[in-house]
Amino acid sequence: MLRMRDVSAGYGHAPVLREVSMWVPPRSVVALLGANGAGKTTLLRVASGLLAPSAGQLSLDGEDVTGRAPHELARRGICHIPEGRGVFPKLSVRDNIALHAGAGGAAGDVAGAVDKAVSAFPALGRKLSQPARALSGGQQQMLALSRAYIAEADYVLLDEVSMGLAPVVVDEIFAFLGTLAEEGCALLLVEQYVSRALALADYAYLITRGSVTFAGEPGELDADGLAEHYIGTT
Amino acid sequence: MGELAPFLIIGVTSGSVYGLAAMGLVLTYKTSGVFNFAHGAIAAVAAFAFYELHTVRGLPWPVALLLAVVVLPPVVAVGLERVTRGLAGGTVTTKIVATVGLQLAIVSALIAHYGGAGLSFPRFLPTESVGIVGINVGIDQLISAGVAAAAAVAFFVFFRASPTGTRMRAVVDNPELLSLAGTNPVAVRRWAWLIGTWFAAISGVLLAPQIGLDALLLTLLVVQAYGAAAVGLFASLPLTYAGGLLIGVLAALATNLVAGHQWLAQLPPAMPFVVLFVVLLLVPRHKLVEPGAHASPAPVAPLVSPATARALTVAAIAVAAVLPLLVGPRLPVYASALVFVLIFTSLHLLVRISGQISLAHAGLVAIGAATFAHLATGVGLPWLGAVALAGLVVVPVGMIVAVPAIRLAGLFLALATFGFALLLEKVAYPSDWVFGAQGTLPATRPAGFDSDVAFYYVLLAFTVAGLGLVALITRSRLGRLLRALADSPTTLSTLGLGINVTRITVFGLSALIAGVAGALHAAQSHAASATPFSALQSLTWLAVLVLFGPARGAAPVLAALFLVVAPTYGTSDALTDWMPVVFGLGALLVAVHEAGRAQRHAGGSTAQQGEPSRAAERIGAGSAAAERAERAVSRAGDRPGYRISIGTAREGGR
Amino acid sequence: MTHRVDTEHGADAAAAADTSGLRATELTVRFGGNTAVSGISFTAPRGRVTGLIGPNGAGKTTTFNACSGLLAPSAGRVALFGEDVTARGPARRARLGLGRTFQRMELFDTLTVEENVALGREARLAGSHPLRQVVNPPAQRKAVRAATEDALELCMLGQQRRAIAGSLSTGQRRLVDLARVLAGGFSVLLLDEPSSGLDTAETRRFGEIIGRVVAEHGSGVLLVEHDMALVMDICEHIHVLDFGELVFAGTPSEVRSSETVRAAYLGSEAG
Repeated sequence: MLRMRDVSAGYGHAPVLREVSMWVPPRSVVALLGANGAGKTTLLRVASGLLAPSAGQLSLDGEDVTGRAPHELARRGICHIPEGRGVFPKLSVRDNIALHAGAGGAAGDVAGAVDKAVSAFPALGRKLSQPARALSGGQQQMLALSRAYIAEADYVLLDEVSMGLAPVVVDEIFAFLGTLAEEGCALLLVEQYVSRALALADYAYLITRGSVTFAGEPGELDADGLAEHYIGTT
Repeated sequence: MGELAPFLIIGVTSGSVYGLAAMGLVLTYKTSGVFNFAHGAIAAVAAFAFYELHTVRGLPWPVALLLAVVVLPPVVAVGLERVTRGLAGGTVTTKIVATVGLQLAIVSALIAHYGGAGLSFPRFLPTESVGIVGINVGIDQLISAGVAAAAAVAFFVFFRASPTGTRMRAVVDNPELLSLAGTNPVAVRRWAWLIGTWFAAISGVLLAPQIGLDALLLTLLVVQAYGAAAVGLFASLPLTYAGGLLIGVLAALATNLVAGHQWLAQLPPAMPFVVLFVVLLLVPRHKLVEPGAHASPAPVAPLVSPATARALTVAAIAVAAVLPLLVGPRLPVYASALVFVLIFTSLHLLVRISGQISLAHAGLVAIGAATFAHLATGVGLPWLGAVALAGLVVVPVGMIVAVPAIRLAGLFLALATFGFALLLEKVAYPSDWVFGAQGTLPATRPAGFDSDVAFYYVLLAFTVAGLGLVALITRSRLGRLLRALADSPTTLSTLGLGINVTRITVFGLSALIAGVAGALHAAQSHAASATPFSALQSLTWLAVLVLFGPARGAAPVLAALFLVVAPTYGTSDALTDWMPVVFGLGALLVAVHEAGRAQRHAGGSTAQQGEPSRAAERIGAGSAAAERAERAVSRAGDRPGYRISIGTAREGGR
Repeated sequence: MTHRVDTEHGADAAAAADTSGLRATELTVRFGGNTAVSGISFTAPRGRVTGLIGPNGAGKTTTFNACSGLLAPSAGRVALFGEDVTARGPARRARLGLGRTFQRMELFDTLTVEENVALGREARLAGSHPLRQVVNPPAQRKAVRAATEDALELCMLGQQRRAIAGSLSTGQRRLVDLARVLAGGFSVLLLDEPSSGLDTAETRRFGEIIGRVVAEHGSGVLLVEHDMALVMDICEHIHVLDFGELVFAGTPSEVRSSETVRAAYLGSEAG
């Protein structure tokens, strides 16, 4: 269980999260919803150790891991795919994959990791020696997502992974997320395609200006209410 | 081609070592975001360690070499990584001052311990010559070049093909993402610092036999690596090495070309700085990207209230007025301290008030001194007129220094001004028309004020006037614009200010004061010469000023007192010698402390460096991704806002 | 939306009378291979509040940076009061009457609140002329003081005037940022997420301030904002960006009922 208890966090002048409590049970899919700037990205940054909370506790499988460095949490099964493209643009696709596999360890590991990445996203197979920035946006996102699969993460935190991608690519990415979930990964999903996220989710949280304003099953949220929340329709 | 071959050989053998040093510099800069001005000082440390172990303690040279070049660097590297980690989120000035302070401390410590005169360095490599295409080349030089080339190639292979090399490239690309992928960026940076330090150490022991064991000279020779780094645009490692070779060849060719032109004699050794300055002036701005994040300065609460500050000012002037009665034969020391108050005041205006950086300040003061000597003694202008003109002549030079400030910011501005300062030192200082054929020009004091006491009061009047002028500027419209410029130039331009005009104005004003100070310096010491104004002095002055930065308006006074007066009160020479070490370390500590404050102010409480929002806000580096990253700095809200009850998901409370 | 033909160029008197305000035509911004903003056209005329909304990463801030001159567009034109300013820098655009705030509140952190606000007017008066940057004639001093006082009062910052800007809370910083552009007397204001960090009361007050500025001075406002209640409340006309393209433009009620907008925010599967 990945759990946050009364977490507050922010950047300098700007407190962003206020006493947020949420949990991601093992093997579950949790959707994290909220308008622009509500604090979703900040919440994921706290969960992966990129941002130390100013108050509150982060725990992993019952152990307090507040303040642990992100690379330690990554080794303990947390995989955060950050906003934007989570790839090293100047490195080759193969080097990117090597870094995913415990940061470029033995050659055998790398070969295995490449096989895994290509099996998940065949399109990557033809681009292994190209720099990641030469890939299309969708392929870059696939490369980023392949880390979750290669690292065999227990908890995958996904920040707007479908942003700016063509619908057909979005389909492929959601199919991959579905596979991850079936294989037993827990997903914490920040997603602009709210309906698709909710279709996949076991639980949903809605955060508004840094506080949790809804926690429950997706069915309890209705589309009109959400639309109102996002666009202000009445 | 046949005629050029000898120059190619000479150039490549000397350039290879610089290329290696430059690669180490660029590697640590790219991975840590901190440009290590102390890189050359580390080379000197290794050379001195070898000397100590081999010559002084009598160890066999291979053992001494092993200890100096292989064993020592890891210790240094771990320390450097720790220090630069603390600097990562600081302002550009703090990053520069920290390693400048470190350089000052190391060089001064070596001089204090081993003496300033060049010791002869053991030539541990065979020194016979072999003939290559008709010229004789020392075998030791060939070995040096070969070792450097081998190290460069080995490193390049390591960088491209090994797992650690991959991690290094990844930490350059995106350290945060690397940590998310399970690798500790700190460990990777430690590796980079280790290799960078190794390269510095190797170049140190390879260069020392050729130039002798002189801490300053060794440090400066590695400064030549800046030119090579510029050729690689401070980013590409192979191009950096190639830049080292290129500069070696250019210098060798220039030696041939300028033979017979006495005034150009200094051009070949200055070639690296010509390259540095030209690259920084001509390369498109977007190709020069500083790695890492920069913070704006954090606000500092004044140490004392305005009323107390006024009272202290009055008291200080009163003490200064009666000082000749109190200090007896030390008066000349206090008189030159007054000159330095003026120098620090001009630097304070530029660096602390306006947030600009210049490492060419000693050059401006030097030109003021030389101009004054020519005008007052040579041309025979009235004393006051010569002082005023000396100030005015320096103004356009200051504005030339401002030209890079328009194109460049931060580190690249600092390096461009440092390149300019080194050019002045190498090319202008030695020529007849600056400090004369003897290297020193007589300078006079005004008629009737020839005595030390009388001239002390002249200096006091100028100093009080200079401080008053800067205080006045600070309170005026220009002062508000300058202080705002230090905080956020982009915002200032979106409010309608032509910030380049403001930059040129402040560089010109600062130069005016520096020029006058130079004139007074010459008059006080009865002579104008290059010695007090070496380019390294600019670094020292900056470090000392920053050390007293927290004292705000009083910083120039305190800096001058500690730089000029305090060492003379030392009961032993040792104390005097070790003072600069204290300045250097002090500046380093203050810089690390300020970087920490700036980082906290910007809100980088992250476990890792590099807050994405800061990177994103650098306009021009913007992109869709940057825009998204900007969003990462979320907006907070105090209001309870929506209350969504389970089931209905409706907005309530409004 | 009428498309008037621009005939005057740079005449100040004409600019003052011109109600066209800011006009972007076929604006495109690319970063490397990424197109952040793709051929968008819109106007932010004087005398009304125009909204610019869209999901994360839609290109709103990029559009702002291109309009205010911090970014050079890859294609397209930006005109201010009929004058083409595409090749002009941010300072020149500001002096023509375009002011902006920053999402991250780029305050002069080491200066006082009062100095920050005064600089809104003073930077513009000082312009690019070396003498004007140094000399502060009494008439200008008076004008700066008056503008500062008005802006401080309007934004309720009188109490904090002597505080160092870097020491303020987020909400107060937001108000200082706003007060600074208000003191500048700009004819068109670009406000980037101005309600972030404000509480309900402050947001309401903020809406009122904008309303007053538009009503009393005839200023034009282009608003990027995520608080939809505020957007719907004060905007007369709203442009919706998605994937760097303008996907919808209309009144608040048209935006509310648009399926396109809904899809942009919730994904194509919504509803």
